[in-house]
Amino acid sequence: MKLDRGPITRLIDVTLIILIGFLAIADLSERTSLELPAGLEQLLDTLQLNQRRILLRSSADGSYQLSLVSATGLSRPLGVVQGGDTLKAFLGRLSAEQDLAGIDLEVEGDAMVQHAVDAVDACDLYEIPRDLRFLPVAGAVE
Amino acid sequence: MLRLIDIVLILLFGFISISHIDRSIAVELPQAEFMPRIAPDFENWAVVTVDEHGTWICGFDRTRISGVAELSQWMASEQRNGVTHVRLRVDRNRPSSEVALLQGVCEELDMALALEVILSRGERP
Repeated sequence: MKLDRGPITRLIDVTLIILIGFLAIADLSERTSLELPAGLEQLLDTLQLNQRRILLRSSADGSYQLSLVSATGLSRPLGVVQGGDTLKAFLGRLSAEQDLAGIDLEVEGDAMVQHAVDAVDACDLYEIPRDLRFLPVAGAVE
Repeated sequence: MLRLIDIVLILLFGFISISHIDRSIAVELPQAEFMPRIAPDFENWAVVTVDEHGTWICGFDRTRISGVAELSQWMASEQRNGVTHVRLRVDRNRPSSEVALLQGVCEELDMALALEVILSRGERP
């Protein structure tokens, strides 16, 4: 007597298709968290922004200088953030814990383009309003 | 069997016909993950490329530029041809002063400038 394997084969096909579908939509990425340096943690604890803007200046060594912009336009230095990953972690905490109006991004002439893009990317990640300005190099004549 | 081969060939030619061959110069563009995606309008754009050695190459005909004056002249001629936007493809390791330089020329000519960035898939925390 010949066994009808048709329905079983079809069920196996459906199972495999559903399995492949779940594999396709599965999130297999690794996540980690970045601890902020002690100085930045302290800064987050003591800072009170109250709808003010932060000035973020990208330097040649990949660091970002933080300053607080007053209503009169003067800036007060707050600290330095080293590297794009630390900057992302810091801005994440800042946007979550503080009432931040926005960030003024200034890029020094000898800072790498990638560092500037990292800063913009960090602002866009947390949907922080940002203004970007590439500082002209003083005395550059060709 | 022959029908399957026909289907495969039709699909292959279809993908070839809709593919876009990139004529631009190979440059390591800056990378981002979360910036908003903006599709450029290819009709009104001029492309300026700065490679890893700092060589300025303008347009798809790869005109080499050796100074700000020559760059201004080239952009002014592009503007006369109807170009209103400039797309800058700069190597990610180049200093930002080169972006500032082009930005200055664009401001003088009242042209918009955009920096081309590669978007990689990023997940919001």
